[in-house]
Amino acid sequence: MLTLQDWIIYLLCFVGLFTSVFFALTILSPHKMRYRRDQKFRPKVSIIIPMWNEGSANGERLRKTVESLLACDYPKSKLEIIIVNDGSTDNSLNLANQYRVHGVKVLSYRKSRGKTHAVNLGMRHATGELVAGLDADSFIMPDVLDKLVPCFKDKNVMAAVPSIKIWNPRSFLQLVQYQEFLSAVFIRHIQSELGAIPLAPGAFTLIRKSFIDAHGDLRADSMVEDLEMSMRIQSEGYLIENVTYANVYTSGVKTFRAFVSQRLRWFCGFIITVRKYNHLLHPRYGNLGVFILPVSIIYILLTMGVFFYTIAMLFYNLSRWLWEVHLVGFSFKDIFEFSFDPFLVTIDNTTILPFILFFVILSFMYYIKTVSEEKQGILMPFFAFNFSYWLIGSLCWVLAIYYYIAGKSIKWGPNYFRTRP
Amino acid sequence: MISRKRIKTSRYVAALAITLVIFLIGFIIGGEINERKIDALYSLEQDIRVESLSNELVFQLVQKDLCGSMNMSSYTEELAQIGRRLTYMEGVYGYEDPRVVRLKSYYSLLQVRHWLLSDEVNAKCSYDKPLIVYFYTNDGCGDCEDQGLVLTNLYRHYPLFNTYSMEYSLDNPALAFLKERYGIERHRLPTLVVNGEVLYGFQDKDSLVERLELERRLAEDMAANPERYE
Repeated sequence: MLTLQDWIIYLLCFVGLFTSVFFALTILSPHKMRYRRDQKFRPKVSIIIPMWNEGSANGERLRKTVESLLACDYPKSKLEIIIVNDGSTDNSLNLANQYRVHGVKVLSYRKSRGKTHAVNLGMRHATGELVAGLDADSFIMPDVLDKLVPCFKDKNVMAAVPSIKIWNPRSFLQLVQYQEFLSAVFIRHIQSELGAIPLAPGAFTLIRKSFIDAHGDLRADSMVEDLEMSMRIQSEGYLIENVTYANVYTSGVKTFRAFVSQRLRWFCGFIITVRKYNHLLHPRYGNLGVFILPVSIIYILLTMGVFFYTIAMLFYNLSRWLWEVHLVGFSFKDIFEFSFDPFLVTIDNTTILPFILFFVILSFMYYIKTVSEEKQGILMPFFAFNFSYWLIGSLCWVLAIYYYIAGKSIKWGPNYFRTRP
Repeated sequence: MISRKRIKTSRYVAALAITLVIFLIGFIIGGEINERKIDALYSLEQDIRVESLSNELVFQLVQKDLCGSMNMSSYTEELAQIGRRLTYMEGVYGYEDPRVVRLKSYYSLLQVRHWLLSDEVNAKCSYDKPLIVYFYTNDGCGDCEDQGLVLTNLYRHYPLFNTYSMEYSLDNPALAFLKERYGIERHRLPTLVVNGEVLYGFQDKDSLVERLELERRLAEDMAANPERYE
């Protein structure tokens, strides 16, 4: 006898297992390392660091970011570093100017205009064939450029993405973000095999400057400028490449409020951008059009379904419990007294399938840990994520959809972004 | 199109096939486990048959020293366990499942036997353990659900009485006789028969505590067997 709950679990497991099996088949299908490191192929690279009020702790974060770039293996003559001060109100500009002795260029807006404007300003002044943004709270491993640049030997490649991970996660929220980012690294690894990366994150994705010159710079009116740029590249029929074992680390947001508002912006921006580029949902765009984007949309709908079902069940059980208390009175004895009879434990498909799925996903995470040459432990983040994300993740989705439907604007930096045209 | 973007239909079909196989394996394993549970229940039924038979024999053999040697507590506990497991089976297979109906019918007979035995022990040994026969139905009776909750809760706080739950819609001669004798009708469910007295409709917790004098019994039992309440 199948209840509504059974149907929901079956549906989730089916979608989850199907995508997992498809991912596994994609991993297992023979593929070769496409781009070898090449000492001769060394186009000039420009890195833009947008910053706003990095003065705290004497500019420690900015120092780590810039020094990681200065210390990288790429020839110095082929590397241009541009710091763009987005109208900081503290001594950030002075701190940035200290790096001029290392050949770092410094540009500045008197008044803050937002991150996208700052990166665009840097890109307009960039002289490199390849450009990338790097937030002042992130740093790169020394070999990242050496690993990313060879991708551009292929004329179809317009962008190359490294693995972006959280450095040294300590708090619960950081553990959750660690797993969130690692899942994204895994999924991008698969998407790359399918030539179907919908999102090349703003953090150190190398972009061919000629694409920007031909098709415009980052859209400052988009709250997810990186997603918009990626969809534009896909829309033009080019490739976004991914180099899983090139590592860039970032720190992640610190407060729950910032966590929610960041996801609110991402998720809402996702809805808007996918609607804008809905023509990509077509076999003409390959695996992106028939699998990656549709599955993302299905996942969002399922997340909604599960969220509201869980809330409804919570209220249902609460009302039943209150009714029971009304009938028999409240007693701690009733709450803490239970006897265990193994006979009464149900083991059927609704318990077996989620169990299988859980281990499949865990093994995927170990796989990506190995492939992406990750040194940090993944077990703690995995459990923190699974414990909490079904609730906070879907809460963010509910909020995003509410903001979208209600047409509320979203604040990012100094700017408000409209959710409706 | 760039070759990597190209859709490989075979991979999608293979993924679908493997997913379906995993589902199938899940169903087979789940079904196998439940089959074993049914078997376990049948063997439990056998145990209870032996148990009740031996109790009856003891009952007949030691007529003279009946009250001293008659210990029904393990029999009662096993009966209660079968009851819990049956309720669980109802949840898994549904009330309508013929196997569940058959087990319930048999269970009701065991209960009648236990009831008669307890009644006799009460009479012969001048005990007065309250015996409640509870008629209910799963079929559209909201009050029955509430009554079940109250009785379960009551027993948890005052484990000093026996309850025999009888599904109204079961059809066997013993039940038919009881229904006839106590005038049990579907529209008057839930109905309780407490020491021969028939109570129609939902009975709340307080009135049952009062009627069965549970507070007094609890105090007496605590004084007599303090180790049970530690």
